[in-house]
Amino acid sequence: MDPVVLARWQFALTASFHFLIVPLTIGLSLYIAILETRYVRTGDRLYKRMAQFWGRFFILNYAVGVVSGLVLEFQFGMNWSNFSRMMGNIMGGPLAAEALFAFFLESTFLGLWIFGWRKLSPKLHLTCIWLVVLGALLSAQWILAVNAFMQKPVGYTLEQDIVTLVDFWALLTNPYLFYQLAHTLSASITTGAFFILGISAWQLIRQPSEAFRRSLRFAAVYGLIGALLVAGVGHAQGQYLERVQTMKMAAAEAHWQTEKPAAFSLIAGIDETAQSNPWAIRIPYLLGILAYNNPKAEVKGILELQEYYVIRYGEGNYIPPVALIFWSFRIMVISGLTLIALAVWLVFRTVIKKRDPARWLLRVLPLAMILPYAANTTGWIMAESGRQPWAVYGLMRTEYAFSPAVTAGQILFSLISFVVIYALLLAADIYLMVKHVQKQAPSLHDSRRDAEEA
Amino acid sequence: MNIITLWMMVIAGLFCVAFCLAGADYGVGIWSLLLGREDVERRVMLNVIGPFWLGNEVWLVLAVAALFAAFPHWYASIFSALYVPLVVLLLALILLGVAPEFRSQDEGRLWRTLWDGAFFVGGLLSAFIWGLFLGNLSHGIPLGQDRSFDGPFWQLLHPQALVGGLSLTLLFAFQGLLLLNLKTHGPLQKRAAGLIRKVWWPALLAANGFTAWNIVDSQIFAPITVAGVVLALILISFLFTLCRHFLDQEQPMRALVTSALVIALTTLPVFAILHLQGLKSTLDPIWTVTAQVAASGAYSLQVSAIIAAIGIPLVILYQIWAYRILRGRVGVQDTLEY
Repeated sequence: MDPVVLARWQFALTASFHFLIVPLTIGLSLYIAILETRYVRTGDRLYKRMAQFWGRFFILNYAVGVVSGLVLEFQFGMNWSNFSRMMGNIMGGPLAAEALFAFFLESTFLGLWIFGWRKLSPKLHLTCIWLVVLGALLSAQWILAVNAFMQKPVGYTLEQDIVTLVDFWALLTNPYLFYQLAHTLSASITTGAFFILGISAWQLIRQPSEAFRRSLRFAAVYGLIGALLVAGVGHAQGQYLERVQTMKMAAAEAHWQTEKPAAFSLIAGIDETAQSNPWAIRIPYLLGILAYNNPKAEVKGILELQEYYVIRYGEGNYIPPVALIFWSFRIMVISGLTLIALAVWLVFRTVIKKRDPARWLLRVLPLAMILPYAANTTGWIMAESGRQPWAVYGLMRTEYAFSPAVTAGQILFSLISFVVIYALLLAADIYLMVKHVQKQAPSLHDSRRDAEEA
Repeated sequence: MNIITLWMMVIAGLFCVAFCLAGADYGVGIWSLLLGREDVERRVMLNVIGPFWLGNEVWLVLAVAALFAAFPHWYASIFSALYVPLVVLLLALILLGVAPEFRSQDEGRLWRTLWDGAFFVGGLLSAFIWGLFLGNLSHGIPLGQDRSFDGPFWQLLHPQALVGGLSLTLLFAFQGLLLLNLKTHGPLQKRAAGLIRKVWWPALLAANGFTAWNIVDSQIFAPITVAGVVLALILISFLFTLCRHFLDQEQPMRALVTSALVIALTTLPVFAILHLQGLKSTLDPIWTVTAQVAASGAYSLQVSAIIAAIGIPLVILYQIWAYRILRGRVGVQDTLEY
């Protein structure tokens, strides 16, 4: 077996697993901070219990996020040593900054938040959770600065195959980072919101209570804002990619031939060996509108771009896995649109009409929890596979990024180990979350009464 | 002093801090099965490290990230060479990392026994492999032409590395006991205090043995090797004696700090060797990766230095504050979060 292929599988699986956890913790942390703020402002103890109830999900998942993040940090050196040699100079600084400015903030103040309920004043305790939120946001910013460089290198010079950082500020103001950060953070808000919605809806079916009504109402608004932002930013990002990573967008649309005006393929059969689509449902002019807001615009096709790349970078295949990217893109967009529809309906019903949501909707919401995860994962598949064959766009191909010292057998060992341990972690994590809901949800309800009587 | 030397000192310092803090957590893991006789005692042990173990782990994350940032070629050569041990380390860190969060969330006997086992195995393996890591850094690695490991994996398990693994395991176990002695009370604390005196001798011998081996093995102190060894042994033995003195005086905090200094003193020579002779290739000296070759560009090093100069003091300040807030002993009557 080809060790590079195995190493890519390992990276894809370990990074995807990590990113199942990360958007949830980012999205939840903000909600917990808002709940506790309301508690401190109003003195309503139900908000405190709600913050603790949702806080447990955060704590369980945060630990999984930390340990799966460690794997990623080590993996650069272990599997991608040539990448690390070239990129250390560029990405080492942001990674160290992520640990210094984000991870320490998150971990130290999360520890204080968990253990400090009786030892800190309410305001100080509230400050802790806001610092956790700040840490989560900063960590996204620093790590995405690294990914943005891999997608669109900036602020460097290239001399005799050595890449040297010359402008750190350019790394932090990379326009690619701006879109990616906005897209990722709004996706995190959406993930957190639909997680809260799913669990609240499940509880409202079992045993309606004020705590979950509040959570549902809040998360409906939170989720609507998140989902609309994801879509809006995503669209802008697509237009930006059309300019800086034309090949990725062409692959996402399975757009083989340059067209003017360009039609949009809603769905298509894709034949990557024949480099064409045997069939497709096409909407005329739409691709030009989506890409350039112009129905008559010319949109470059994969095959023309390939010729252009050969002239620019030399012989080679510069076409990423088209079918994978095409379908990932569609799963992401359909998931996102479904979430917007659900959120709009919920906000209309619970916030504007001030009624409980219909039972069918409560039954659908727990199932809809899967959608943000589907969208997050396929979104990253599109972003990372769409960059292939490059590890660092235009600078280093993935096959050269690999560690010469590592054998296929070693990677098989690590790949199997990580898959097994992650499967166990995920099973344990879900088991504990379900158990937490079943055990703690009823007491939220009781405590409300207790507080009122007192 | 040039910026490469400065970075070498920062990285050595970061690994020392990380080993002192996270090492104590591993130590608690190592003793969790033996010392925690009842369920509630095991919970107390988890709650002793509870608020801080994530932050302690971040010191290691930072140390590794700093190595990556400042010396990418060392990071690349070392991490790809030590592939198999590091996979095991990651698995151990995963187990150790989630065990405190997961263990007490379910009452099942089997569930708790499994996570107790995970916490123990995670602590033991993490401690041992970090020692193996230091032993390999100090002794050198079979690096080939492309600065990459060239040889079968068992070549990483040479005697010096194994002694390193054993030494850090004992030192971390010792540190863990001192932490339990400081942070618990009642029978648990008495048992920990009793064990400290039994582990004292093996830990002292291991720290001295590993340090002497590192100094003799490297040629960097060649003209004064004997003097270097004698000086190191006197210092380490003195600190151990001081630690014992503080224990007898019932000053557990000072004992803990003294033992942390021993860990630092055992770690520092490895980084001094790395700095002065580079990451030695045991195949052919011309493939040795020197600090100059391994380092990032001057501009990157300066930017990272500014980041470190702002960030590290800030972190130290608020971590000290956090430790102060959560000071005091943890007992079986307390509300146990974990």
